[in-house]
Amino acid sequence: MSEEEANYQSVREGRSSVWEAFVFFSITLLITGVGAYLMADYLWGLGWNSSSTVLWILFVVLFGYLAFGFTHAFVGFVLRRFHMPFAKMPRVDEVASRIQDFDKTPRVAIVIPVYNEPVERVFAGIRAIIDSVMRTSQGDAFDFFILSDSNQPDQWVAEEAAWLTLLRDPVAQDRVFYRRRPDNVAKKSGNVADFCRTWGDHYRYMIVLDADSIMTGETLAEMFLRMESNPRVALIQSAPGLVNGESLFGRMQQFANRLYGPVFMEGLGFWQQCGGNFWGHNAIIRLRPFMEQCDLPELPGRKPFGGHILSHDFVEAGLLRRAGWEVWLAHDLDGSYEEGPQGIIESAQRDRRWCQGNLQHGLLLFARQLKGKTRVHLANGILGYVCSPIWLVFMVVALWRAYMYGPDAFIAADGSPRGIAILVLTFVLLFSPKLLCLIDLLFDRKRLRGFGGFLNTATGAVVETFFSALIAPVMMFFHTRFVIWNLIGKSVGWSTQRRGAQGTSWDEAISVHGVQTLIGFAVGAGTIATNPAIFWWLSPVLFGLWVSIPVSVWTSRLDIGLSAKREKLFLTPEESSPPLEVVQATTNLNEPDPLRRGGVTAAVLDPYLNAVHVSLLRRNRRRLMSGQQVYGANVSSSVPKAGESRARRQLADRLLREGPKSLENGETLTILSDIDNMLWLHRQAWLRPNKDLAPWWQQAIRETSAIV
Amino acid sequence: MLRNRLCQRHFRSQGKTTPRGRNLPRTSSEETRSITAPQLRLMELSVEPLTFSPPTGSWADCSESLEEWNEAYRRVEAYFSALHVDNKLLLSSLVFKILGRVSERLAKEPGRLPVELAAEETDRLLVKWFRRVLEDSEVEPVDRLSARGRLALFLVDTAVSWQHLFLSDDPVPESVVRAMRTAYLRADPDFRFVAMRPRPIDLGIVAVANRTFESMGIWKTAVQWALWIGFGLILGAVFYLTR
Repeated sequence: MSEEEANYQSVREGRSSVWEAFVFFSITLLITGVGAYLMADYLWGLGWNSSSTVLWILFVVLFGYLAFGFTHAFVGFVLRRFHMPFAKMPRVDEVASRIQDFDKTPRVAIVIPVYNEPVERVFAGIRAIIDSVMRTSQGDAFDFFILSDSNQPDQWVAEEAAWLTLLRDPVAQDRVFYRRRPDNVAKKSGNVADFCRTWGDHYRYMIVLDADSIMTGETLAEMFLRMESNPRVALIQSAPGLVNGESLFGRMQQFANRLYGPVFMEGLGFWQQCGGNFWGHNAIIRLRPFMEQCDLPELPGRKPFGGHILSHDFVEAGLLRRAGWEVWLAHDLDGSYEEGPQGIIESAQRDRRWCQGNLQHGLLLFARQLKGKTRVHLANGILGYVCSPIWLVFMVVALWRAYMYGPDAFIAADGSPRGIAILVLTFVLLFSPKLLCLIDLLFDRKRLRGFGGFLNTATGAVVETFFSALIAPVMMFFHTRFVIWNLIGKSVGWSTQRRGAQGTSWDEAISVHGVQTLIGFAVGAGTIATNPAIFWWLSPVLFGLWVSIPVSVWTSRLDIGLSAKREKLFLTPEESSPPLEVVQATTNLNEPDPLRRGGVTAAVLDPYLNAVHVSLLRRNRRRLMSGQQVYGANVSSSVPKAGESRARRQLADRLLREGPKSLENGETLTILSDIDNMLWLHRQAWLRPNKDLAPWWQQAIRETSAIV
Repeated sequence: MLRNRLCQRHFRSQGKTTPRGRNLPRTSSEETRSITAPQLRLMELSVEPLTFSPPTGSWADCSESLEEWNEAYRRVEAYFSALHVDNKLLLSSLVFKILGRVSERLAKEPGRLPVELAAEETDRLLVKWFRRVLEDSEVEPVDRLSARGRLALFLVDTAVSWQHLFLSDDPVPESVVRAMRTAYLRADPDFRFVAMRPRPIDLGIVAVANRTFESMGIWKTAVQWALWIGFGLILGAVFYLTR
């Protein structure tokens, strides 16, 4: 029996301890209980009626969720300041750290699923990670897999070209692999599952990265050694820090992430212990249990709730826990980064995808055999979006009550200050976590220097809080819309997230925020006309809606973000002294030669790219044919039938005679996927006289000559 | 036509001379590797005289065909440069070698354009060279052989100096032949297929509800009913609260 086999057999129930979670949730419950009591007392003083019941229930849900967040910060702060090692993080033991002979040790596959992502940035990131990994003594243990699901012809060819460029470096040869799936069944989880089915057996571990992930070699090696030292651990999730924000919104997000993240992560690690979660990337996974437990079934029913599980990561962690494996959050590790959205609209687009996935988890909340902590993770993800419509309904009911009972609707007859007490308590829960994080920073001089000193950090925190308050009502409206859309069955498309800091245009902002702004003005006018006191209570929310258009535009602007950076506002440690890997991922971009055409033109004309493209197609066809049993896919579609062959040849001929724009996207993909036609096209494009070629091809050939 | 013929004759006459014996300057860093005596001898390549002028006047006298020949030149040059034949002298030499053959063919096939024949000649020479180097016995279709050859060239590019041997009739050194024949693009490790099967998730009460809805066949309209009932409840609530 191999060592891994022995370890595998010995896996039993994880070292789950209940008392940390008990303490944590007791604090949450205590705070919620106090808030619920005060609210009930307050409403009772106003005179209890039906709207009181509705308000009280909604308040308890919202207040409980707020208390849950506060407890993270409070517990995290206490643990960090008093250095209490409650989170029994899996550590590297000496035996594992002495491992030197990596020929005999299992290899680690770093998998990077990509889906129409910016190719230059993706490959610059991979290059940076390879260089970093090779600087560690464990470098030889790592292989890299670029797992493409891209369905845009230009993206596909650009990825192949970038991979070829990478292969010119001997370090990358036999270490960086590229595979594109012809169909993207089950999206990212299907992509990773496809890797597992084909090559998973070569490796003991898999580290999943996102297209914009950056991890240092040191961190990757540390995660690998921690897994080697702890055979009952199936997954270690790192806590990625946001980097490379350039717009004001992006820099505010990363400032908040870097300032508040460590304290909140400490609190999260405390209650979840070995019952952690998976966030989809920047995590190391033990492949064998993953392959055994985490091939996700389709959920019963229709979309958007039925079908493939969209937010697969939470469920995969839950299934690993169900089988007795441990899942940990390595919040103590630095060197794990990702990039965030650069504007409010971009952030909302991402939330729209996540919202659908998280709401789908509602079907799994009561699934049998799942661990309690898994259910908490699922419920937390759902509440993150459902709280927005709850907040909206709470305000609508409160407004209605104020309208019905007049200006004194919320003033107790006996003049007791219970309402003020609730307000103060709510503000404490909202803002004290930020204060705790600031205080925590005071004790860490190195981090404090990275943030540009206390004054800078405090100023940044105040400004960030102000903007968060402005943006919160806007996000409430977005989330409410997403939740309603999903509930009435409108499926959400998985568009590529727009990255970078190009900025939101005024037109785009008006079309997206126009209705919100109008609602804000309508409610403002209505409350002034009927109950001015209520108007002033609502004004913080209304103000956010009124200014949503300019705020959305200005916070997405690169120049404003960079001005703030020059003034050291929202400075983060990664900006003060950027990690080498982060710098390389953004500066070593192999920008495409503007004189050279990409896409199908390059795949046809470039003799090498054409040959490599065809070679990859052949390899992929062989993979699908020989792995038919494990894929269960109908691979015969990749071999065209007689009639199809003729039609494809006609398409190829049209491509040459009329140019690439004469073909639809799907037709171009068909041609790019056809081995015989790609071979034929290359020779025909160079053999035909100009009169038989579209001007596009003539120009492309002339440009090749001009480059000479 | 007369002008065309003059130009053709000129190319033909130029194509016959093949002076030998000069070592070519090399520019790329790979080519600065130490080279053995036999390799030096192999690098002696035929360089056509690179100055062309019509024997009976200037190019202005055959300006129509000049543009056609220019197009042919550009097409061949573009293809070789796309193959990363970086050395300008080698590149020019190869282009003129092709154009020399084209001028011969043009005499026999007067109706055709120089660019057509140049492309055909380039392709023919390329396939012939790949066939010789890769030891193909004319079994493999030309398209595939060409792709295999190009892939081999790409893969050996950083390890082997091949440009001075490219399309030459001289024997290709065994090391280059071996490198090209064994060149292999490793896009991924060997396949080791493992079947993964979904573990069922018992959804508990949700599954029961779903089965009920499915069996009743009302799942499709359940959401609409829920919305209408919700709307009715809101109306009722508003009515009640306003009493």
